Amino acid sequence: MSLSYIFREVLRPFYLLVGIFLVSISPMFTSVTGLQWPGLSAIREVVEKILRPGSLIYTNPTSGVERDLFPIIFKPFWSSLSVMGIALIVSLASALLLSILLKFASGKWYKGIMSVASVFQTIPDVVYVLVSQMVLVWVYIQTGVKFAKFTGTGTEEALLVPGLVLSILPFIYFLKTILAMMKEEEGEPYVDLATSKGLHKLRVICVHMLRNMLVRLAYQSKFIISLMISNLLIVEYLFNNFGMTVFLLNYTQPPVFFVTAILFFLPIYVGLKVIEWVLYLTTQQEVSL
Amino acid sequence: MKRIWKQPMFLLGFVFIMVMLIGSFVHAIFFDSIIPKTPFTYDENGQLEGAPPFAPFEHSFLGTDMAGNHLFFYILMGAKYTMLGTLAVAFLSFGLAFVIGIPLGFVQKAKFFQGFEQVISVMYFIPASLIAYKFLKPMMMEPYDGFPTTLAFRITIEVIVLALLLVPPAAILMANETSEILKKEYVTSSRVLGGRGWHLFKKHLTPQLKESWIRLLLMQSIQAVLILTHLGVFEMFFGGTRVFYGLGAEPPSPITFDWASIIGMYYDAIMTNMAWLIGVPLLFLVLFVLSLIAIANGIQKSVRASMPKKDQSSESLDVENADPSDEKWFELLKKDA
Repeated sequence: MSLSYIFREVLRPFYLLVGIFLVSISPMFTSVTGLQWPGLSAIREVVEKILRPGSLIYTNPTSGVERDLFPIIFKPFWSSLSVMGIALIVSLASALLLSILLKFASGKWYKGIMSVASVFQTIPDVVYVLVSQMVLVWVYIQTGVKFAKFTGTGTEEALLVPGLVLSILPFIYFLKTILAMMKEEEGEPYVDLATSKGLHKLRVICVHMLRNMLVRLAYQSKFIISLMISNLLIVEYLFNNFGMTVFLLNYTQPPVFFVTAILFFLPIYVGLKVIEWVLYLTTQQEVSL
Repeated sequence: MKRIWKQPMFLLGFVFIMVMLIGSFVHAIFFDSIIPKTPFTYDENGQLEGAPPFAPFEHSFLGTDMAGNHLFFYILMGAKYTMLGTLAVAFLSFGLAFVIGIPLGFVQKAKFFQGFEQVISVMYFIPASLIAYKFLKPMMMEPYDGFPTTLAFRITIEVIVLALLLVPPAAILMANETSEILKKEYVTSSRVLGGRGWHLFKKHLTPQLKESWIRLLLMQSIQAVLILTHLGVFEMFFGGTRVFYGLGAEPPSPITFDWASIIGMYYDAIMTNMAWLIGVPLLFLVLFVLSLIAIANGIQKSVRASMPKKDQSSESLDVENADPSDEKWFELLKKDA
């Protein structure tokens, strides 16, 4: 842990801030007629507003009503985090379960599942969201049973169904990665040793292989998060959830976007950092997520 | 390259894209992109028989919407914008990533590059479709007194912006792959023997990375489809959104009717029993993505097959009776040297 490492780590969030700032002022560079240069004073004004976040107001683009940004912003914040949490837990748990089950099925399944998963992975996420909504409506029309809340309105938001829909793509990704890792781990000597000692296959997988695989999976967490955020945007939009990404989509004033984006991405960034530190402490390997 | 035409999957994908494109252009050039409309149908006695919406195969091939517009012709009309728009974004972003990424791989991680990579990593957190939506919104939504810009201008700007958004991750990937190859020992010996940039690129990078470039091009097109679909769902249609103002105005309508915008236009139909209005364009989008995958896989297979398995040219030479003056024994770097 050298000094330059610490320096680099301190500098990294700063780069992220610069990136978010550039994105937040980007709409100022377009107008109805094309590209434009907003002028330095307009950009300076944005910076000044960002420095006083307590007094920020957001304007509803359709009704033109102005409201204070705080504390209303915490509502979409929790909505988004809970949807993402549900999706993450469901997808990881079901992928683990299914891949362990597949280990007991014949080897023929492996190739088939891998190729099907690769194809499903490339299908646009909109398709999954819309098809699941169609299925829900169809079930409702056929049976009259509304077994899950469908879209959010005001206070009563649907969280479970968006979470489940959001979990589809991470599930496919997890399943593919875990199956590939299992195949690699099986060739390791420790698996041979454990099997030759007479341990049950399930015990070898759950106790010994799983530990190694979870560490390797954690290396990919940044990619998984980025996949989920992009997916979350469309899920929240179509399920009419008042979530963070929809907030970012609808309220385009640069200072509001900047503050909300920071508020949303900071916990995710910190979470990634925590994973990085845990990985460093347990495996003594430097990773940059 | 000839065996590529013998692969069924490749052919299927290629035929699907070509048929849709040609059909779309024929529809545009000879039929002026007219959308047939069936407000009512009558039986042989002249009695009113049915009214729209018609389900697929009931009255027309893919059904109609509430007003009786035939969905099939919307699909046909939008095919060229969807496919050519996607491919334009993919090729432009791939080309830019190529021009930026490979020199970056040669430079081997300058200080500036690292900072740049960090700023770019914001793209992991903010989805590209969100950035594109915010950036393009002022230009793409029709203002009260009509668009001041032409359709071609808006499409060009949109393609460029989407391509630029897809460049950074691809460029970084290319730079990393390039510098990975350049670290290999045989490249070092090639450098020692005097190989410069262009030689290294042609003799060592291209053969090694050809397949990964095809993959990347496929990934870029899939990403482009994804972003265009997101934008379509957000009612920011490819080439601009026609917005109607005033009380009781119609919902926003697309201009180009690309497949993503048909989904966005009919989204409200999901709550009714007219699910085909969304299902059909979704199906075509999925078919398009699958065709792209099939084409990329086909090209990859034929590239792999055309690569020499083992260099046998030296074995066929007769070493015993070698004639040193024969040119095939020595490859001259410069003929006139």
